[in-house]
Amino acid sequence: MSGATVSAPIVRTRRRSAEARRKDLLSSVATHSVAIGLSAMFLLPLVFVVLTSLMTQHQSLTSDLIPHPIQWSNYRDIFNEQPMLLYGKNTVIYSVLATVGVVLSSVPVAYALGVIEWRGQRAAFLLVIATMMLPTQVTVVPLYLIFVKLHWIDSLKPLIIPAFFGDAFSIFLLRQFFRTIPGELVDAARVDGANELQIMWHVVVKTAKPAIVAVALFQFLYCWNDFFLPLLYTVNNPRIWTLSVGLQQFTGAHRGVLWNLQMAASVLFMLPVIILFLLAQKAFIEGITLTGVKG
Amino acid sequence: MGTVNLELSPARRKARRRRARRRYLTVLLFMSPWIIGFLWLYVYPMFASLYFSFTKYDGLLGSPRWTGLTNYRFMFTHDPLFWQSLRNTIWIVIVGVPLTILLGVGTAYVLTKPRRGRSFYRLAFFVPTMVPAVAASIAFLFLLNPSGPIDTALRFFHIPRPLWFQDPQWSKPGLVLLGLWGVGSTMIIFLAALLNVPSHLYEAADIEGANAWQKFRHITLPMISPVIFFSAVIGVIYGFQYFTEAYVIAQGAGGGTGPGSGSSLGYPLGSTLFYTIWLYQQGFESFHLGYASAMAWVLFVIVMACTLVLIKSSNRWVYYQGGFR
Amino acid sequence: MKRWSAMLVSLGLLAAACSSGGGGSAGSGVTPAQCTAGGLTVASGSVSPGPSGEAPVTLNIWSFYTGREFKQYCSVLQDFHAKYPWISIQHTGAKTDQDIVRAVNSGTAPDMMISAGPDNVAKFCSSGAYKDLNQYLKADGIDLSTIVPEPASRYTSYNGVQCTLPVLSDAYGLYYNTAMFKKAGITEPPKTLSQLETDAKKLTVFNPDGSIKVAGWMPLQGFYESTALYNGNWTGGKWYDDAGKSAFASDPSWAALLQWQKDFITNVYGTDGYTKLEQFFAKLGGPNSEWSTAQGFETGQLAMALDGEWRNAFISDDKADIKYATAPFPVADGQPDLYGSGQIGGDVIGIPSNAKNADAAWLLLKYLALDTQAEVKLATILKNVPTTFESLKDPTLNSDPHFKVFMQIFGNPHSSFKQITPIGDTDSNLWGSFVGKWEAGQVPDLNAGLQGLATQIDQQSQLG
Repeated sequence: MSGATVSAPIVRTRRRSAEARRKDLLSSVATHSVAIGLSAMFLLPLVFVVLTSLMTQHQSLTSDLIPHPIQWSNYRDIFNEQPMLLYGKNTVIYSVLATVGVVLSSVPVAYALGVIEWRGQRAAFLLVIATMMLPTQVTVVPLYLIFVKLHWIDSLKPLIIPAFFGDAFSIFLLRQFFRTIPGELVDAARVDGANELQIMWHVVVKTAKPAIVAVALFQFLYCWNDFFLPLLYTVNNPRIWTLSVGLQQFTGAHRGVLWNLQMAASVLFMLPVIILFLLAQKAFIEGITLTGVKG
Repeated sequence: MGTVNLELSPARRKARRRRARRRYLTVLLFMSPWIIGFLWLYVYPMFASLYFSFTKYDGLLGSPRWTGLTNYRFMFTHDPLFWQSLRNTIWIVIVGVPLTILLGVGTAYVLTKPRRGRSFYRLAFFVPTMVPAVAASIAFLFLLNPSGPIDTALRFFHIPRPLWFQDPQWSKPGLVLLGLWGVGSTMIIFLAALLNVPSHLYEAADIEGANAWQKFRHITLPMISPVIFFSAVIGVIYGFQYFTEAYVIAQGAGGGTGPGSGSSLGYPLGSTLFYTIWLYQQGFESFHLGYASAMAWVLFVIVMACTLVLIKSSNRWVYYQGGFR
Repeated sequence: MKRWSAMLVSLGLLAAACSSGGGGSAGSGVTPAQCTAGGLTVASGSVSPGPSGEAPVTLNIWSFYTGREFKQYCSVLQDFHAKYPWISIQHTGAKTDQDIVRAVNSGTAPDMMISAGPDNVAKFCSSGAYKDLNQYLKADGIDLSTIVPEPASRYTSYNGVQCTLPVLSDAYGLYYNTAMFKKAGITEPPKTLSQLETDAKKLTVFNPDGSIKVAGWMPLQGFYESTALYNGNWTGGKWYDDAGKSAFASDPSWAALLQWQKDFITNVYGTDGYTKLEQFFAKLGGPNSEWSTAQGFETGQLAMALDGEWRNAFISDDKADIKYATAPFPVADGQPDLYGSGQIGGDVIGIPSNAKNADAAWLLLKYLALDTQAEVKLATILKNVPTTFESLKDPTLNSDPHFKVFMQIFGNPHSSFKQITPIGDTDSNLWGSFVGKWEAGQVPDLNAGLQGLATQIDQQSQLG
């Protein structure tokens, strides 16, 4: 897979003259200036957010950039201003359960689509892909009505339970990976008399661990960031708001501007996923790379 | 199925058929989560919403009443906000998608250059992508507010300072900036594609004395064109469903629920009223479920048409190295 | 990688442990007796069965209130709880009419909703979203017309269905900065729109770079409560004709009002006045600043403002350093008899048709809307106009000259709320976005535009 080549050097040089070396140096300076400039553009917004989160409310309304004095208490006040812990708990419940659901349900489907050979497989795979292209809005009204009938509105159920019925994107990603597993491995297990469930568990899942981790990470992140569906299904019940909905409602419904607190809340909201990313960078980037590979 | 057709005895044929049937049962078992989900979460709702789109339906308090094409007629002839939301959405797709691809290729290209520090730069370019959409939107609401840091910077450089999310001319460009900040995942895909271009192609071009632009134009671009195509398709599909950022920012900039203030969706002056926002407002704030369903189907048709046009055009500009798989 | 799967598993366990409280198990984890800024508040104390053995209930009520007002409302709820100890209350703020529509439609409605205005009353009454309160009034032998002034009972009912009751009203008038008036040599507040223009011109101060430092009066429709002028109360504009059709095109006062606005902007702020006003507004902090200490009138950046009676409370609460007075808002030049009136219309409270504790909710509604003591207390702490004959006579409320003006506006026979119809606030929203386009110069032909708008509003009823 191409993911492995990301860090491989690409610039190959033959014998170098002094002239060429000077040119290299110049182009290296140019490259680094551009890269540093771009880095600043990508990182400065975050820096300003963090700085503002430490200002007094009055200062956050001015055009000052540096907090003076530094008001750490914002990070305490935001918990009084709104139930951040409750929102955080709801977000974790939604993200973790939906991730578990997606992984549990998508692995067997991807296995059937990528490892077992059967007539109609390609059509089924295309159908899975096709559901990804269907705008959410086409199904959302009838689904809402179903959830009303089930009394699931104002709970996290409409967000979590559908996750246990496979997720097209995860199926796609896993299937792509499963197809790279050498057929001999699977055949050998079959010859040994293993049934498909055993093969899936002992051969495929073991080999495809990186892909499964990537899928889980993506799903977790997706849920952590998700806004439209949590808004739709939970907006009337503040006790089950996720961080996304809670923060939006705080910004939208609050009378007056509290930039310092809003920035503090945003920092707390993004911190877990940024840390998650820093720790699992490799899995992420390999996973994203996998999505870009045509299938 | 790569089996070879051989003459088999009836007994063996029977055994084979039994095996095939068992295999199908296994497949069915493995596929069952998705099959149930497909029927429950896609097939039924699709047909139901198609039916609702021909009815007047106000939710629980009533039941759907067949009204034929009324919803569609109203949409095209009597709902200027439908047209406005469609125009806004097309604007964000036409401006946003190419810029995202351009910046994605650009940043990825920059990342292929430095011999040292690449992983730091990659991290720096990518981190904004991890910021949740709602948090990023609130951050930009602050960054672009009339006394925010961007305004301060523009004043320092004596560049005209737009009012961004308070000005109907600049609210959509502000949203595009926000989108470009999160270019990271597009960039990573392009980075992988760039690094996959076989280096012997560049070496051959060097020997022929090609300059950097010629190499980019005649080697890099064709080689990464499948990824450009992929990004364009995804960009269009999701661009038409653009919701979160516009919703958060319009509500944040337009003020909340003070006495006498109506909905601030689309603030300012409807410039951020996107298709899905108008649909949400019609469906889940006014509970015109029939009308919302009709809008959803029109959206579906538009997205399908755009995707098909892209696919049709792709064989003219997308270069498939190893043929289509 | 290993570390990660381990972490995921532990997170999963954590979630499994938490999830018992997650899936919509409402009612758990409610802390009693707290009037906090957060969303959850319970007026509590001892919970015991009622005098005739009523089982203890917890009313789940929603309101649009936030911040200071939300906290203050709590004390009246506590009074109610003291009177009816078997009824506890859980109060959730920051709810909009959209929220209640969604809740009624998804079977998750609260027992009571306090809306910020009557905009959607006709919609709630005609669709059956709210209970018709006539049954309760009749059962309790209450004749509403002897308790509530006629305009207020008009905007709380539709076609004979009284599905809401008024609890406090807003009245809109003119706030003006007396120090600035003195400096500009103006002796009394303007009474007509042309006087408003003359005075605004005198009061407006520009910065050296041409931008606005102090705005005499802010005419943009999207600005704070200036919206109210464009509802037609001070110009005699009717929203609907006798046949129930939109009157934006047939009633010439609308075109005249918009033309007046355009001339006002040019005469007071110059030919690029619109842009200057937009920048001025953005610098104030945009619409959000209305509810903060950055509010333009409170910071002395507005000489005159059209605002509701509640601004008095905000000014004192924010300790704004301004000298001001209040008066009725000026009226169209040809309509002198309208002077003294204004837009009115405030909180309306209803009981959703699928409320779980409707009878207990009625007790609370009756208490808030019809009990003189409760009305006066609410009016005093929230600085809103009370809505019963008895409470309107309260001497303390009438002793504040700033506030008294609004009590008088409320009592003026010409004061009203715009006609309400089953399309709810859709007409206001469409009209609002039309005026916005007009201000921005996006309506080339005013009459044709108004005609199109009227047709569009008339078409709304077929929408489904």
